[in-house]
Order: sequence, then C-alpha cells, then structure tokens
Amino acid sequence: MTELDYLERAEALRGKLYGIALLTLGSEAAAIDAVDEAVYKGYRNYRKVRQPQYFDTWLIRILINVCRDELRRRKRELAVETLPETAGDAYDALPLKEAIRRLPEPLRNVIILRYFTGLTLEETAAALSIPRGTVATRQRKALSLLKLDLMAEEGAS
Amino acid sequence: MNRQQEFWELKQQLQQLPPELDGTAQRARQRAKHRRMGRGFGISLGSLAGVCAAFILAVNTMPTFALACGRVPILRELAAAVALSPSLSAAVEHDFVQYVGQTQTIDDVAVTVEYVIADEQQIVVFYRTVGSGDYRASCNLLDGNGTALHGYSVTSGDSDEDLKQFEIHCKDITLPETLVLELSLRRFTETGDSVALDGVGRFSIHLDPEKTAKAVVVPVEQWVDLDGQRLLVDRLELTPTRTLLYLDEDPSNTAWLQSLDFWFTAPDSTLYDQQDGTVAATGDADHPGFYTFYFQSLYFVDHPEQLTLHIAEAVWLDKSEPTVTIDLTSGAWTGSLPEGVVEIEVQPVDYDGSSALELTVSTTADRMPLGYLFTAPDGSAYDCRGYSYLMADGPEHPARCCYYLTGYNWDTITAALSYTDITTPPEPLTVPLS
Repeated sequence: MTELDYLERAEALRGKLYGIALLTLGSEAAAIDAVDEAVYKGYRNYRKVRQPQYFDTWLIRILINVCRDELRRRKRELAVETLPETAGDAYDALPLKEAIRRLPEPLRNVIILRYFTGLTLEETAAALSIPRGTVATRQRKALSLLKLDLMAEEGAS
Repeated sequence: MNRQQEFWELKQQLQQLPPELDGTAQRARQRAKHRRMGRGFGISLGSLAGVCAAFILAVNTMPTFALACGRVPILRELAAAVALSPSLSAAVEHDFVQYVGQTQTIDDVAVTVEYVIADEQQIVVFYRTVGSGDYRASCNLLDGNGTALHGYSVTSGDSDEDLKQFEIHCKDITLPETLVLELSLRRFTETGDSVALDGVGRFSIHLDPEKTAKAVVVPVEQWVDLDGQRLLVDRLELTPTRTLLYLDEDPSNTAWLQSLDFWFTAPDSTLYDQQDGTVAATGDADHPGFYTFYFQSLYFVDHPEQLTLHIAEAVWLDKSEPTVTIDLTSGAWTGSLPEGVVEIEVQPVDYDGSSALELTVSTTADRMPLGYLFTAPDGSAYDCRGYSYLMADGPEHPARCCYYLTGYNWDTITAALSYTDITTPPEPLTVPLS
C-alpha cells in the first residue's frame, strides 16, 4: 500500500471511524481525538498492511484499541460506567445512545460495528478477532438488552 | 419515542460529521513528520511534497534531461513513479535517468521500455504496456553478442501506475556497455492468478557510462557488541539508487543475524532512515544469516564518511536452529518459541471453501515468528496453505500471525523458528563512520 492509498482510504473511512468512536466514548471532542489518534497510528504502520482488502477492518481494529485505552484511562479517573448484562431494566431507562455506551465492551463493539458501521458478520469477526459465531451470539444478547428489534439486514448481511 | 425510532434517529445523527474531522489523514501525516523533527532531525527527501518539489526543480534546471524525455506528461509520470523512493528521486534529480523509448509486441501486447536508471548495484527499468489488463514484466539479461549473463536477480512489484518498474539486482555481474533485456510479461487477474504470455521482447540498450555510476566505497571496519554477539561494520557501498551496508560476524557468535534496524545521521542532524527498494537484505547459501543490508542511497550526501550509523535493534536466530512442535488438538507446544510469543491457539476454520486449521501465534514482536515450511511427524515437509498477519498495536494488543493448514492429517506439527532473540539496546548504538 502506498502513502497516497493510505491517506485516501483513511480519509474516506473517517465517517465510520467517527461513529464508532462517538458511540464508544460519548463526546464529539473525544471521538475526533480518537479518530485522529487511530489514523495517526495507522499512518505509522500502513506499509505493513499485507492484505489491502482488509484495510477497513484493520483501521477499525486500531480505533477500537484506541477507544479501549481511552476508556481504561478514564476508569482510573472515574467510577466504572458500564452496566452488567443482568441490569436489563437499567438499560431500558437510558436513552439508546447512552445505553449502548454502557454495554459491556464485547457487546458494545459488536452492536456498533454491525448496526452503526455496516460491517458484515465476517468483517466484524475480523475486526474484533473473534469467531463469527461469537459475533452472532453477542449481537443477539446486545439487541435483547437494548430492547432493539432489528433484522440482520439493518446491519449488513 | 420507542427504541426503533431512537435507533434510526441515532443513525442519522451519526451521518452529521463535524468539520473538525476533515483532513484527519493529512493531520496524521503532518504529526508523523513533526514527531520525527521533534527528535531533533531534519528530513532530506522523505515527503511526497518534497520529492515532487525537487523533481520540478530538476525539470526546470536540467534542460538536457527535459529534452531527453521529450514529453512533459511522461515526466510527470516518472515523478509519480519514483516519488516515494528518495533514492530514485535523487537519481532522477541528478540526471541519472537514461531514456530508452523502445516498443516491442509480446503476444499482441505492446510493451515500451521508457527509461532505465543503472548503476553497479542495480538497474531500475521503467516500462508501460498498452491494452486492458494488469501486466508485469520480468527479464533475462544478455550482453551485446546475445550471450546470457548470470549473477543477477529480478524483482517486479505490483503497481497501479501506467508507468511500472522492475529492478534488476546485480549481485555478481559486471554490466556491459550494451545490454539486451529479454523481456517477458505475465498477465494478472483480479484474484491474483497469473499467466505467462507467449514470446519475449528484446530491447537493446546502450548504457551511457556517464550515467552508469561506479560505487563509492566508505570503509568503516569497526566492531559492535549487541548483547554478547559481535558484528563487524565493514563498509558501505554507495550508488545513485541505493546503499549497501556490509557486515560480518564474529565466528564465536552463537546466533545468526536475521535483521537489523538502523539509520544514519549527518553532522547537521539530517536523518536518513528509509529502507528504500524492494530488497532489505541478502543472505548466503551457506548459512541462514543476513549480513548485507540495503538502504536508501547516500550517494549524493556530502562527505558520507562523516555520517554516523545508529543501530536500534538486531534480530537473531540461534545457530542451533531450534524448532517448536505444536499439538494441533490443544495448542500445547514443546521446544522453543521466539522472544515475544505470548500465546498459540488452534481452531478449525473455513479457508477459501476448504476446511482448514488456523494456527494463530500471538506475539508482541513485529514479525512472523515461524517459517512457512513445516514438518509432519513422519519427517515429510508441509507447506502451509496461506497466512495472515494482524499487526500489533501496543503491548496490550499483540500481533496475530495466522498460518492456515489444509489437508494436514496429523495431530502435531513441527515448525522452524524464523528468529529466536531480539536485541534492543536502551539507547541505539552509534558508530561514527570515520
């Protein structure tokens, strides 16, 4: 992959990256910072991309790691924000955006990638380095907690 | 508002991108540039803008070159083709391009060799093909009498540019003044399969001695110690298209050198840090060590003997050439693992429609830990079907190196390690060349 390829593809992906970061971190400023950080990390490593067809999932994975590190940093400063999977009623009481943000991380990542980023099951599995079946299980669990009745087609099939 | 409405409104909300997000890729590029400069170094010709500016300067100030190339659109193409290579850009800037402009037809595909940049170490051939399809060229070398030459290798990379290039690496060859390129083409499909076209095209090229530079040798002859392994930094050979760093080992070393992370600085702190070109290092048929490394050209640097070599990392393979045997039912292993490996997992997967075992080795090191040729319990060799590499992103997210095994019917497999240890000095070792 050339530098020009990277710059063009990263810029084209910024909208999806922003959506993931905003839903994960909650604030616009934090989301922009996370996208900038992920695109910078990607820039430093684009020469190592051996399979350009997986570029999007590669950069999304970097962003997820950036967001994870940011959440870890926040946890050191603030009380833990996520709710347990058993707190079904608590999710009901929250606006959807906030409820997604408070999902346990494994469920949150799947729901964001599948339904707000438009990744297929396979792409989501690749971005998160988990089996396809695990994606499907987490997707079901997250939709149930959020009381969302979405078809697979409303993500990407 | 019910959840479904909330969902669709949230999706719509996410479509509204803040303007501050625009230009994120360029910001990353600028930040990387500033980060380097923040270490107190300048950059010679590293950036695309810098390279293009230098090239435009060359076109404006070297009318002979512009005349030789003839057509301005071609110049722009050549600038694009070499823009990301500081060495080739510098060679172009210093008028080491030789115009060829010959066309031959191979199996109904017209191929034109436009230019070559030649020196004692390599010849870079720029060519184009006419017609739809993705073609890549390679060649055999003959002298002016049609006698085959030996002692070279050819690498032909992928490129979306109309003006493509391949490199001829001159390992043990003295270039004649008249060189015949016996050029062949392969057509590549979208899936990466390729088929060779019938026939060859012969291009007779007279190499201008004025533009076929001799190598400049900078003797160094200094020993360095890297974690108990001693290396002799023997010499540099500089040509317009690249630099060769020649090392040698102390015979009492217990490991072969596999790779080296190094760069150079000038007395004014200018940094030269690009492993430019398709070949990083060459080894020896007699042992698995690598002691000759390729680097961006330092040919045009004033007083190269005043440069300082910095060595940040050396990767080693123990001379006992250890192996690891992996139980494919549990992921358990016996033997040795390279430094940095944190986990081995095995799981059945679908690979291009076939049942396969995915052998995943997680490692904090930024390199494939195992070779690609495995050994079955009966001693037979097994070539893995494919592999993938998901890069590390910090120590908490190690790289995942996956090897795909199809049609493999044993419960265990043995792999040779591609390296064993990594030496990273707390501060890079410095070796003043003079």
